[in-house]
Amino acid sequence: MIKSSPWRAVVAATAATFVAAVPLTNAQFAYADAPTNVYQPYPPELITASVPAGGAIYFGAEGFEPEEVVTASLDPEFSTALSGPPRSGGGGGGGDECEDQDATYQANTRGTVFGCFQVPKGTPPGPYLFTLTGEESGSVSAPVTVTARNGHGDGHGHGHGGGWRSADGASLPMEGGIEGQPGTVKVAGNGKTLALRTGAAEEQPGSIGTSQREGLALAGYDSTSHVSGSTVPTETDSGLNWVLLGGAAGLAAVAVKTVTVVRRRHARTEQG
Amino acid sequence: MRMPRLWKHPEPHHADSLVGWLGRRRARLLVGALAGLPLVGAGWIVITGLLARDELLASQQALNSLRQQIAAGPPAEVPVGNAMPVKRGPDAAVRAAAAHAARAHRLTTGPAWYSAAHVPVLGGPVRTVRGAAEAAERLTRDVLSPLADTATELTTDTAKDGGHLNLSVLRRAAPALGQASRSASDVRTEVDELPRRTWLPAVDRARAQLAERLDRIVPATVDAAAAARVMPSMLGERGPRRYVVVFENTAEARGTGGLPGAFAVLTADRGRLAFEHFGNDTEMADAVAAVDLGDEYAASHGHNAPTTTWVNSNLSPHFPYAARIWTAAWEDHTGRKTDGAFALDPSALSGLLAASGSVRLPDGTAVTAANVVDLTERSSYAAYPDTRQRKAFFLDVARAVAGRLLGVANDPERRPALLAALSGQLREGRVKVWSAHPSEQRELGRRPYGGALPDTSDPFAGLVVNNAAGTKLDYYLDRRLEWAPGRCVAAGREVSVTVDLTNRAPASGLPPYVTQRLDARPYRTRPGDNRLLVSYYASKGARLAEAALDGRPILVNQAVERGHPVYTLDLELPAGATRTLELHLLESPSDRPLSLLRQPMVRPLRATVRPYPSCGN
Repeated sequence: MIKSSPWRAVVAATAATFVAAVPLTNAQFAYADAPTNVYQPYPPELITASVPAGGAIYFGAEGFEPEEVVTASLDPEFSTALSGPPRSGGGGGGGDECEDQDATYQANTRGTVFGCFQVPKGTPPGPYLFTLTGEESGSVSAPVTVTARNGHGDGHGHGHGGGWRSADGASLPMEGGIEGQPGTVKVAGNGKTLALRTGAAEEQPGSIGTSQREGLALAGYDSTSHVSGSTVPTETDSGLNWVLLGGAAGLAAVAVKTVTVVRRRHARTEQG
Repeated sequence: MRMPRLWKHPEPHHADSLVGWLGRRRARLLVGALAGLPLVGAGWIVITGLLARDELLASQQALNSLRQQIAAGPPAEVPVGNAMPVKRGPDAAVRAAAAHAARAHRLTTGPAWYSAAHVPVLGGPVRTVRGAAEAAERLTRDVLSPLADTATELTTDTAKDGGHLNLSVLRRAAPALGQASRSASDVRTEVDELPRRTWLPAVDRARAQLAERLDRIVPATVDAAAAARVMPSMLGERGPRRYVVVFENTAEARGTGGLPGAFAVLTADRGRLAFEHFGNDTEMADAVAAVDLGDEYAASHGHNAPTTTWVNSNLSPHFPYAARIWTAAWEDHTGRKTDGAFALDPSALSGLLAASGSVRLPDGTAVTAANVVDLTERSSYAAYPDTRQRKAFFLDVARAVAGRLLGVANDPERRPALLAALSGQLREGRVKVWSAHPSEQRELGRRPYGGALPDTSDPFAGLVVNNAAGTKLDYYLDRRLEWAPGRCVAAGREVSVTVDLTNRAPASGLPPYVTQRLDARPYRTRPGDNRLLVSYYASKGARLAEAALDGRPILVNQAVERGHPVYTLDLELPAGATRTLELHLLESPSDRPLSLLRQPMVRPLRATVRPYPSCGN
């Protein structure tokens, strides 16, 4: 049992240091091999959509059966990253808000579906897969990075979302004017295409060389798949982050609890 | 033959029989003559055909010796400016070839050849030989002679203030070279119209060889004509010019070839070339290119900040984009405008050094055609663990090679070999050119060395990789592409594209700088593992039906660049692994030949284009 004030200070400092060390540890992993003081910006990456928690994803997809019921979902890309999938609905924290917050949609007679999906405001930041699943024809997914609430992307989506829906399915998303628009992410395959936009992908001067980025989704490379050549990703950095963070939080809680208990006992002793 | 003794039989009763005999004899002669004429004609054709063959071989030999003479150049040990051994000039060799070809053409003209060429079936080879001889004469007279005249004039009539190119000679030659390129195209068309398959395989082979040579000559003449039109102004005939020259490091792939590492600034003033500055990517780290490449470009590449991150400035294979960023960045960095940009890689330097001869660095290292690629893209990473020292070494190489090339370019005797090598590198797209002057860029943009994505709707296949790991492992990257047309369906033609990418990096022993990973990734990797953004640029109007990676269905990122659908995959490529991407597309049916984009890298792209019959419309 910790009784003395120096011990309290040591425990608190250890907890604080541990918590603070988590991001630093990750940064060290990222730059472990990189020589210092040399111009080495981040290499190029595949475009992914980025949306703040509570924001909206506007989408258009084709390749479904005519008038098929389609369900949208947002699932963590790596199962170790989060405890469970977020629910749709419950927006309002990240800027955009969908008129209809139900996550069920219906394709038109040409098998095309347009819509707005509300990212729950409590969604933890990280890499996700936005998936549209048809009752009959299967699914199509695109990677989406959820950022903290009020991250960039605020106020960019209304016009685009309305514009897509106003097309009323008469023209496909890729033919309706969004092709080549900054901020649009489009994936294709399995006889389906999915285009989505959150309005967050403008070029940021110097962003590649300076920003700390989220873990990235790899098309065709999931966390459980085996890769030719026997290199298999077994563990994710983001998963490690959460484990470390959980451990740190637990340690901090123990430290705080210990300090509280010691203080109460000390107070009782003084009172006594 | 025994003749009748007429003077000994003057009797009248013999007259009738004599007349009859004469009539029969005449008829026999006539029949014999009619029967023998084709044989005589055939004999004539065989004899003159063999003579024409000898003349054509002599013509070919003259051109071969000229080619070897140009390729060899003067001996390397002869100091610059010294008198060279007297050799027969290119014009003399071409004139000799033209004379032989003209004789061959004359031998294959006349009634016998004309008649035989029009005989159904049997006349096929005769028609081919006749056409080939005529093509050879036109080629040597109308195409090669003007080229040789210009080459001779450029070699002998150098600028008064030094040995550099005489731009006024080049400008004056432009119309003749333009006519030569048109003649070359005409000759190619005429050879195409000759019978491809006759009953004489040797003649068919000769026709095929001629067509193959023309396939190389025609673009060369087109390039020469274009060069004569744009080079005078680009080389500063009307005022000094300044260009950014970027040396691309293909050990780290980028859309136009490799990462823009070392660079130089080249000046051109009335044909006199000089390098005024050498730098590397570190110098350009803070440069901002004030250039707007449009929404489409921003949608595909904007998130990688190409206008503010020098090493990401050439993610697109469309070279004019990269060149515009480089020139704008240089202007931001120095306040000086430039007139265009060039790009080349160590493989291009290798080709140029083969013509110019090797060079020594200040530390005594020899840079040769054989070792420049390995030296700059592999062994230097082990030899110079310190990045600053290595970048300084790259600059030393760039300075030394640039100095050598300029020295040879200013030597009239050695210049033809260098120009021939440069022409080859330009055609392969390993040297790319962009001009900020629209009239010049209109000319350059249509050429292979313009590096532009095609504007046409012809079948197109472009495999483009960008290194997404920050490694230098693309030195070990093998690329294989197969483009296989399938069925014709109502909506178009089915096309299957198979891409095999193999990472041949050794499992151990590579320097850390080569294998280090700068990317954020949610999985573990080993040294030697690589990561690529693999893009396939399809024909305009193509639509993706299915995609698969290593046999498993996948979704790929889809974008559009200059009308071409672009399908991109973020691919982890472990050391020693091969990964296979399959794309099944639906394209517009076309009988036009496929245009293939060959991203210049260390190891050549191995491409297979399956034949495709017409879709019947």
